Amino acid sequence: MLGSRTIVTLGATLALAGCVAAPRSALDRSTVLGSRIERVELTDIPVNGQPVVVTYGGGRCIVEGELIAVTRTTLVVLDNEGALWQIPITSGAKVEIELYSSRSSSLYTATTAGSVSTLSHGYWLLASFPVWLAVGLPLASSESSASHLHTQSANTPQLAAYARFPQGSTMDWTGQARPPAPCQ
Amino acid sequence: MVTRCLGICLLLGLASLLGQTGCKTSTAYRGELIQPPAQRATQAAGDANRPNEDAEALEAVRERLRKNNDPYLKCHFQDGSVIVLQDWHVVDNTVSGKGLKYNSQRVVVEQSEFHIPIGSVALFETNRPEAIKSARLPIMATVATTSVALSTLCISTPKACFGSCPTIYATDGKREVLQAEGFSSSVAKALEATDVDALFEVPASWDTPELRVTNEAPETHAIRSLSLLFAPRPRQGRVYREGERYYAASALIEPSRCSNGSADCLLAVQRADAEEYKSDTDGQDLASREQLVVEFNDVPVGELGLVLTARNSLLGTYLSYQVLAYMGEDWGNYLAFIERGDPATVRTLRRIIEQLGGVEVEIAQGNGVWAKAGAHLEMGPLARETVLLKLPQTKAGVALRVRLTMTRGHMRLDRVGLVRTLGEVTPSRLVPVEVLRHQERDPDALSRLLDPGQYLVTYPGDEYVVKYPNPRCDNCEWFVESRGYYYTWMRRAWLREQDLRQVGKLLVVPAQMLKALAPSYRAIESELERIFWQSRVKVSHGTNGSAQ
Repeated sequence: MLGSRTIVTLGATLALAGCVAAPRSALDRSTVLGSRIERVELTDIPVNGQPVVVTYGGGRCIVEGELIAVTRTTLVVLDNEGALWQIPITSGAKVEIELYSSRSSSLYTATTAGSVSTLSHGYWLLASFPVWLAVGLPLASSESSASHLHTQSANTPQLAAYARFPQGSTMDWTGQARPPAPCQ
Repeated sequence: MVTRCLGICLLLGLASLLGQTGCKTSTAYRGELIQPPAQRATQAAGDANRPNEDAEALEAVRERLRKNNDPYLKCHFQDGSVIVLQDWHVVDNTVSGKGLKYNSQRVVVEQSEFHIPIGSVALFETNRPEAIKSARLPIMATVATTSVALSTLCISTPKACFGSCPTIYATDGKREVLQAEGFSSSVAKALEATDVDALFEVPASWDTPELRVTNEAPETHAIRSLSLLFAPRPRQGRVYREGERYYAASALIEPSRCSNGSADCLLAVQRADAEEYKSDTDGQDLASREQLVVEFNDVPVGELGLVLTARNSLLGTYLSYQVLAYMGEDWGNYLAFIERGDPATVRTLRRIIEQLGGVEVEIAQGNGVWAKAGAHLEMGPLARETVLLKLPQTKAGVALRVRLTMTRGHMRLDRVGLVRTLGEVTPSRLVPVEVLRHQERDPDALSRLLDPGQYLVTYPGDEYVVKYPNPRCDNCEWFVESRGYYYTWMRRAWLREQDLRQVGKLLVVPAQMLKALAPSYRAIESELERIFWQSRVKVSHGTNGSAQ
């Protein structure tokens, strides 16, 4: 049988996972995220905007891509198919910014695989399946939330810091970017 | 059955997935935006106090840039282009540094040393790369990989995990002695393997070859085959095995000197006898290394080989049993996992036994530099094994110095010798013709050893005498080739030590655990051999032999 100590150990793991799960809320780019790296290749320094997911129209419309610029009136996003979109600030859009590449998808995949693998445990599945879910899902979720920022489009000055052109207000995007399609 | 296989395959997959991703860190780029006065001026056009404010603002920007110690600086321009500088600095009103210029489409258009007037820049952005280490992946990996921990310790290092395995006795011409242990790295059916051991002490003329095969530990042995290999010896020489190759070699040359840096070890390694060289662990780190320098004066002309006769101490056994104890009552689960899984996947997780290693051999060059000659890992704690390690060409007539590096307290060296190899030989094979159990013929056991599709399964205390035909060879070298696998039984006393956190530590920080376990091993080290040999299961007939 799955020993009680095993369950206790996994429970402790879950508790530890809870401790390290800290949601990120500060929009300030000068916030320290990790330990300093002295040197990377110059070509590795990103010169594009951060990946964003912009949700507007009451959650019915989503544009996903690179944050190009933030003007006084619009968010400009280059979607994954190469199209530029202008999303009015006044739309009340919600913006999710990916600060760095997280491995949450690996953790979700691992949780799924581990949970399915408990089919091989026979009666132990009653204990091992919930343990997999209880440990895996919070870990994957916290991994994801730690690497993403959620904000409103109204926070334009701070949001601009994550764009390809943080000086974006000096550029004229009229005619280059298409307005958002009507939400379905 | 299908669901079990599916589950185990998935578990292996996720262990691999976590292993691949868990070691990597993500990189984030902290940034600070600094707006130069030209941009402020644009926004504040028409202000009468502008010149003074511009000067103050410029000084403020210079000051902020000077104080900033981020290693990278981006200069964003009005047209959308950007220059990324490294090793940048500020002199007067100019920012300088080596960098790359990108256009607005983010295509590199120039690579140069740039000197950029501060006023020409729309926006400065300092960048500092930061490593994001997630505590979540190791946690998840620990949960997943506990299922494969023991297998990782046992799979890839031959004979690291003790079992008496099939313990093989053969005559030395006068009496029956323990001469080999079969497939001791095959701790599960999925790891079934063929193992060859030299029967170095049997007489050259062995008219009635027979082996006594016993099971002397709480284990289940499954023997698929048990053959004898033999090859004619050269005049005044022997035949040695190096991996899967066999070489005829000249008479063995004894070393003239041996030192471990603080003591003489010549007598211990000069001859194959009961006297072995063995050091004790230092009580601080089970991975501490030691070196022996062995010198040969009479170096012959030709291709040379180093002959090692040795066995492991019980250090690896102790560690393996400790891991089993940490696994506790979940061991059966892990074993099933190994059986259904791909050993190559779990092999990547093994660490701790690897740190113990085997014997690394180097030879001294004329300029005082040591050159690697090879390594030998395959030993076991029961029977001394004799193997050959071919050496690079050296000058004849010059003393040859060989340096052996190994983990302190891990090896028992019986003999180190030098031979001149005379060429490769191909041994002949003998298969059993008769099997006795309780001194009576056992045709079923014989048919199982002869049928590649069946196993001879033995349990603690079992003993079989396996006979072979007369090889009609008056001067031959002998080897035993065994194939099969075995299961180690969990001991009740070990269950009390179950602690998966320790298993996790062994996987994550094996070096630290080798230090942590060092004092407890040191405390019992001197008594371990005696207790070990006494703990063997008595077989039905005959007297258990030993390598001692």
